[in-house]
Amino acid sequence: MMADNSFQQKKITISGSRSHTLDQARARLVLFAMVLMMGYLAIGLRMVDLTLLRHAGNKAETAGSEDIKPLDRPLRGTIIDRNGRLMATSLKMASVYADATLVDAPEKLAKSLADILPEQNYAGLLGKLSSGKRFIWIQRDVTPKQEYAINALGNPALGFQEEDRRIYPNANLAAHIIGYTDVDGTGIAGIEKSFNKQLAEGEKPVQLTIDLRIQHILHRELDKAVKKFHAKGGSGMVMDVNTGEIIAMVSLPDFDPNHVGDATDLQKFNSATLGVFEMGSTFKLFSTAAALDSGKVHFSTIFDATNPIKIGRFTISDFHAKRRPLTVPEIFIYSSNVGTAKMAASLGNNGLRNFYKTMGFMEQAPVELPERGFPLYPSPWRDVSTLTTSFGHGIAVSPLHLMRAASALVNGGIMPRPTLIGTEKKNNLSLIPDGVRVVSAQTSDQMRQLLELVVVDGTGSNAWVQGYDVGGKTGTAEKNQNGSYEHKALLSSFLGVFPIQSPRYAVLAIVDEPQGTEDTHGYATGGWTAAPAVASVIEQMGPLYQIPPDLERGRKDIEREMGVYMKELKEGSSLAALGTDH
Amino acid sequence: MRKSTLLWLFFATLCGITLFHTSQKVHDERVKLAALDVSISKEEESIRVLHTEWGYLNQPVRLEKLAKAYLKLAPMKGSQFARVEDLPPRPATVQVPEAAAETQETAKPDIAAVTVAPPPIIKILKPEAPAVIRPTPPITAATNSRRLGDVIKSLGVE
Repeated sequence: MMADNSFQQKKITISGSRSHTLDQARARLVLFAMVLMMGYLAIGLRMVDLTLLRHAGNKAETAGSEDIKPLDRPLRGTIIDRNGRLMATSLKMASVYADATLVDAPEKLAKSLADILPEQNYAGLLGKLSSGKRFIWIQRDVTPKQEYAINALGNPALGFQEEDRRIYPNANLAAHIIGYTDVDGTGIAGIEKSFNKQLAEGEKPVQLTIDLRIQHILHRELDKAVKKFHAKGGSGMVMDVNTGEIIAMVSLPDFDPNHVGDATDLQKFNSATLGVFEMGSTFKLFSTAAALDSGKVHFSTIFDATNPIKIGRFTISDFHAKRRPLTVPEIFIYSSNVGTAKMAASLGNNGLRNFYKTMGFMEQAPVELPERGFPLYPSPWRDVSTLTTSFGHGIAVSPLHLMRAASALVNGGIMPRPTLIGTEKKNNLSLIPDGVRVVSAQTSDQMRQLLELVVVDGTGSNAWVQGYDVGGKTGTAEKNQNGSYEHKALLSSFLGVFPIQSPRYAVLAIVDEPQGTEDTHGYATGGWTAAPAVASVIEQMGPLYQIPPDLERGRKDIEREMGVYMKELKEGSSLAALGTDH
Repeated sequence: MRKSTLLWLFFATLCGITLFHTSQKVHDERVKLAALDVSISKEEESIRVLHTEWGYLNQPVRLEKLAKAYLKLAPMKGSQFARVEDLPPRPATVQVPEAAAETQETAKPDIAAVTVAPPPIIKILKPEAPAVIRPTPPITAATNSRRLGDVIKSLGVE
């Protein structure tokens, strides 16, 4: 059997130690061959599997994993209002470019591109496409629809470059609150700046306390007032007096954050939080509250406003001088500078200064915006400072300061923390303010009565809203320009609170340098320019927020309550004809 | 060749094949995952685009213009509210249910009950002044919390 085969010779039997070695070598060869065979078999099977059995399978498997990567960087986060409506977002926007050397029929391509891109004309496109340049922009930031249409052309000469683009759907409606970003998408103003980190991470949207509906109403009414009185600008705010939540905030002139490059510095300036102004008579709120809260002064306390006060080179006089001694409510309703100054003087210099400090008028007002103005106040504080700051001259604060302090005076005496983001206690909403007590509940109640009186029977009568018991204070300050006060350049304001019996919201309107019109008999004071704007805001906001109106309480009630302190109310003559204030 | 060697060999090969198969499967799943991630982020992107479009369509300025042009409605005013007790009396034939009196009492909206409104100091200073003519329903824990709920609802805060 061994002899009839040519391989036979290999089977020569060798005995001894060598025979073992050979056996081992042969076994290894067989093993090796087996492994190889199995490998080939596996590859063969896999090839059959891939080519015959699975060739119509998932295309992604054939594309190679290197081509498919999820987005490396999240888009910048969104900003939404209190009802979840979009205020700012980011989108990937494609820009189209062309390699003109690859275009074979420029006329045809230019025609189809002109159909897709309405911003481009045929001639311009043809020029670009036949320029022969290797790289030329066709259009920046095309919409997703246009991108799809251009892709569908399938022309190899066209390409896209994707960039993140920040988008503000409501344009200039809340421009100063939201702020804007630079070209790299880093926030450089407003909420975009103060919440840059959270927005850059892109996980959670930033929800503001702003209500876009109220923001729109305030914007519209303030814009109307600014246009009607040919004013330079204006600012306005709506704040929840109990929680400090800012519901709306407007600064005019404003800008479209989608095109920040076109905006001037004046437009970009947030006068509601960064601007500081001498507020004028609205400050009598605080000096009167200081006096009442000190316990030294009561409604029935009388101050002599017969003659102007002369101190140094200053003369303090009244715009509607009554030339007689006045009670505290009379001083407030006639907006008597002399009376207020004397009332403040009775507290002593430290009395008023310390009260202003408690009211936050000597520090930045807290809010989640980088643009916060520093108040300007007299330093050192002299006797005359007490007199002038009592009616809002010689001290400049931002509208935000004013709103915060006024909220504290009417909400029962607790200083709220102004916020655009809301408190953590939002879900556990309590209408009882949480913060430091700055005046007693009794003083707060008296302030509410005074504010109501101003609207019912005084300089704020244009802010009367049927059903919503508005209380408020007008202010008309002469602007200090280059060291002297200009009679023609006014800062007219109205600070309204409603419903005044148990306040929920404070509404502020400030009109910068309004010019009187025929309708207003030439007056450009707060009562004529800002008060109607506040009234319109309240009239629209009340029903929207389902605040039940109180149609029973009328001016007779407050007149009856306050008449005992007011000589002229007692005598029956109306104060509503005052029309202006100072 | 010993049987045990062959057995080991067989096992080693089996392990090799299993390992290869598993790693191949992992690779496949990874590719699938990446493809899914891409389609998710594409979906998210298009949702974002739609949200943005919705934002543009809901511009208050635009809505106001459209409402003026196409609706016969105007924003509500405070003076358009009425109270239950202001309604005209029911016809005499209708039996007034017993519960009605109670509902009337509690239905009157009055936020003063929940906010910090101390009684007007004026009454203390001026005893001869007539009482304020707004009757306030008694504040009980139940009415208080119910009103709070209403107020919270009206604020649109969840």
